[in-house]
Amino acid sequence: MAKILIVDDSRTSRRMLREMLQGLGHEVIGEATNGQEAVVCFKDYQPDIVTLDITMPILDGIDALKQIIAIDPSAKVIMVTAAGQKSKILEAIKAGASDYVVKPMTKEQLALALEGVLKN
Amino acid sequence: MFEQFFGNYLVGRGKLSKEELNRVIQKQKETRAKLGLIAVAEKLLTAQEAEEVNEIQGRLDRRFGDIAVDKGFLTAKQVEHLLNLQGNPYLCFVQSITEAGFMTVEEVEAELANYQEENGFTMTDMEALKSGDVDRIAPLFIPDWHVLYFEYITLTFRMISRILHIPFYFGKVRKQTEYEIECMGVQELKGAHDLFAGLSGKNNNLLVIAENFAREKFEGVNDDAFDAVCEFINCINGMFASNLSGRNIDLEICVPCWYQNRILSSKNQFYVVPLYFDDKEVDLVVAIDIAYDIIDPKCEEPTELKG
Repeated sequence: MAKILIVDDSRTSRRMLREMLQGLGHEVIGEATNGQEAVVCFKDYQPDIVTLDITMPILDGIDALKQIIAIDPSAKVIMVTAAGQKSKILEAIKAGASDYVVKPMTKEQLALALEGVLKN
Repeated sequence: MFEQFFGNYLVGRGKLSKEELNRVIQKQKETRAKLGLIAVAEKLLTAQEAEEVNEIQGRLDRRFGDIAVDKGFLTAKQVEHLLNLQGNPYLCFVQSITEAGFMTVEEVEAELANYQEENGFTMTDMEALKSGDVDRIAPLFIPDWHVLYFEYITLTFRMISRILHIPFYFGKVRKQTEYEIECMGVQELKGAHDLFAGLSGKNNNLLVIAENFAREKFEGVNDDAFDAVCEFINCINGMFASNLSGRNIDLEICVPCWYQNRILSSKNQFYVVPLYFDDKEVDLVVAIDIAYDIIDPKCEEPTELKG
């Protein structure tokens, strides 16, 4: 079981992710609604994994990822994004993201990404 | 989809009641299996292969059969065989109506001829309609379509079927320069093309999108319901951007927002597509590469985004 921080500006997406993660036996230790909150929550909660949306107000997922990696270069971050964000996903992977999943994802797709990240 | 167009025409003509139509549609839903299920039952695909195709379909805007052929799981001939087994939507619809004793075959045929005449459809148009294929049906309802508008609108139809899983049909597409917004979830795409896409409804009509996407009940079109509508638009726009990026057209997805009691106004025409979910109308509003303002009718000044 991993301790997971969910970051997404959409309440609907956070709820869907929370239900899937809990259904997979993980603990959701916190939720943030933008990149700025994500960085603060990352420091406070020290999660095993962060699920990070890309398109968010105030501070987007890419900039938040860079700040999180600067705090902890071994941080495990899964980008959660709509399709069509290929260049953003590549930027995220270069910046240190561990993997990505495309919305709307199934529980199985999320489980696969989590499994891969936790193994490494 | 044919059953929605023609079925609602029959209801309008007093040949079927709304309840009878719902019963016919429900029966069709129960009997018309998905292609993947038929392929597994026919032992042409393993359950794992069908799941793999479904997973790819979730990421790419392509048909099940086309993906299966590309993956080497099925031949084009096998896909054709499976489509035959799945059944023609028109014939299934007629069969369901007649078996239920609501109308005779002759009565259905006579009404179909009226429907064709009233809409000015050719025989080819009718064949397209009977096929149930969105890509063939949509051109009948979208006048003078521009390719990007057509791609966006038909993608939205497919995403409604794939993600919301609810029956719907659509009316004639309108071109307008002004649109009165009661409740609208919106997302913009910026880049090689600028796109404004919104789902808009009066009263609580947007709840049909919000509740079927989020799989939860809302008390009204509140912030949470708008959030769900915007997330659905985000999924459509992501897929649209993905389709275009395959042609080296890059679009950036903006943060969604929502508006209430505003007017969308432009010097150029944008497209309004009425979508019907049962008796609820939700409009898809799309503007591509045109300047527009969102105006508060009380102060007639462009308004700030909310969301």
